[in-house]
Amino acid sequence: MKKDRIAERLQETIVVPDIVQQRADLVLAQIRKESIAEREGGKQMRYAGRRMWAAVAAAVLVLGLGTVACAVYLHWSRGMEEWFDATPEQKEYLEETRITVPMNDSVTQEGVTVTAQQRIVDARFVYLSFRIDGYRVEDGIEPCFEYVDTTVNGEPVNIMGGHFFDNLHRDADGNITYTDGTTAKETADGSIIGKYVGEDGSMEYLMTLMTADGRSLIGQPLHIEFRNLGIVSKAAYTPDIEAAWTFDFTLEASEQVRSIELSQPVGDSGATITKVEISPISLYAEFDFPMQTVPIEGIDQNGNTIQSTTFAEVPGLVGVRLKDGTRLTGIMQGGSDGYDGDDQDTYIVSRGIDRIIDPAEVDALLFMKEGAETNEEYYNMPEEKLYIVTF
Amino acid sequence: MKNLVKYARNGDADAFAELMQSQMQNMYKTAAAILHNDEDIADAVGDTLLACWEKIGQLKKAEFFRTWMTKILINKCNDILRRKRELYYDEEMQEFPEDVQEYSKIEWMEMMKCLDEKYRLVMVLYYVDGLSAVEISGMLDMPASTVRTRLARGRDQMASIYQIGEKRRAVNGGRV
Repeated sequence: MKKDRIAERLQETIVVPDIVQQRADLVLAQIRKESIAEREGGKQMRYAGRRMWAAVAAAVLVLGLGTVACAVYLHWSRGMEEWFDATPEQKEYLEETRITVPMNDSVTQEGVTVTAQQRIVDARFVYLSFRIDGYRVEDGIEPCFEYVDTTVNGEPVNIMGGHFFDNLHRDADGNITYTDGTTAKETADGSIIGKYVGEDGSMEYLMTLMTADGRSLIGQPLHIEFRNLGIVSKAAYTPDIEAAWTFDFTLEASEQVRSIELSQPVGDSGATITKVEISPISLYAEFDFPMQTVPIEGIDQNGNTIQSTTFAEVPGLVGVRLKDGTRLTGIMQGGSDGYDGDDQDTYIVSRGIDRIIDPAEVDALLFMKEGAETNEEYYNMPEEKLYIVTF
Repeated sequence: MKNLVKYARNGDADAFAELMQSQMQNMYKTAAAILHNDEDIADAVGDTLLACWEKIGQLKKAEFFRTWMTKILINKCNDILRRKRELYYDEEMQEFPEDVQEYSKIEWMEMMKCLDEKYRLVMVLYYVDGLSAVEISGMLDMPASTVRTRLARGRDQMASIYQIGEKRRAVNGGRV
């Protein structure tokens, strides 16, 4: 066997076993959850976002998007409300533009009813809320589906996140309460105790999806299967109910995307931004940035100098600037960065954001020139640490 | 990947999750070169994810992420191995599980099984994780010359095993 054949055999793609992937998914979900709790405890940006929206709401009205009153007619799930921290104006905007629509598909198995109740969808990201009735856990005990599979036309869809809503709310001062207004309880070691069962006895499961290739899921037939329900503790799953709850629906939504073709350098990074798509809940950008191998030098733990290579990347997209000058950084959520397939010239960034913005009010994208030194700086990055690409 | 590391270092859990999911194949293969059942590998991967999240703020350069993460994973695998050996050392443990379902994984595991244990990890780190002999040497606390020797011997072992396999297939093919 030749040397290159050895490499080829060892590098063959193998299926990571369910038990390993599932454990990784559980740990990462736990990390995300704790990170959100920690971040929002002392976070100011969500509320800056809220103030921003109040300013741009008037512009929305003037633009005549059909909004004449703040009559919210869709019942938002508790989890979706908390997730986007949406004001009545923002909710109304998403409803008018049909980026969010109610759902009402239920499946009952083994006495547990799972109901698809709300979705928020744009061209690249899908947020779903499911209500669970007939299954309860004690406060502080986290429920968990053992498996969640999602496919479109038989092809797997990336689940960027999935968790049961803990009914915790963080206010502008960082105080944590339950969504019913009562003070959040803590364990002896100071951890906040999540309350997964709501006042009406139901629970809520929230999930975020995106396609592996970044293509739109709008108009596509989505298949979701939840299998087995139990609890999770210290990232280990304990089974309780063996059953499957299956949903099939087409993701219909209007594409409220502001698309901009441009040719602007991203500072002195060598990348030229050629296309931007801004939706109320996500950002997408394409760059002319041919793949470059970069030699790097480092020091191993024995103090020896080592040589290696990596690939150059465009500066990290950290947020947007609004027409009134407000800079929103630290708003980026999960997504994908990199080259699409064999095209090694076009670098693509596709990311969800953690608030609702009006695409028409964005006048620049913000890229990280230097890393943030502190958590506060991450959410309020100073201008000198940014590349600002206007359009 | 560099940007994901930067985001993750700044406490972006989504970026961290995406970064670590992109490493799952490599993590699994590296852990499988040390541990011999999927439950232990799941534990090692889970422990590694937690440790990486806790310590990623200490990672000085994004370029070193892969070697840094792999070192943590190897330590976690060795911890599990040590604990198990202390509890109940059993020769049977050295066998790969028989209940693997996926063909690609069976083939890959069989290939690993054919390699002498001391060559497995070095071969995976070099060919799967793309680390240099010098980097592996730093990671495993062994001289670079030993790494190169193990790589050469591992390659020889794989080559001879597969030559035998190919000859057998040719003979069988002739009979049919």
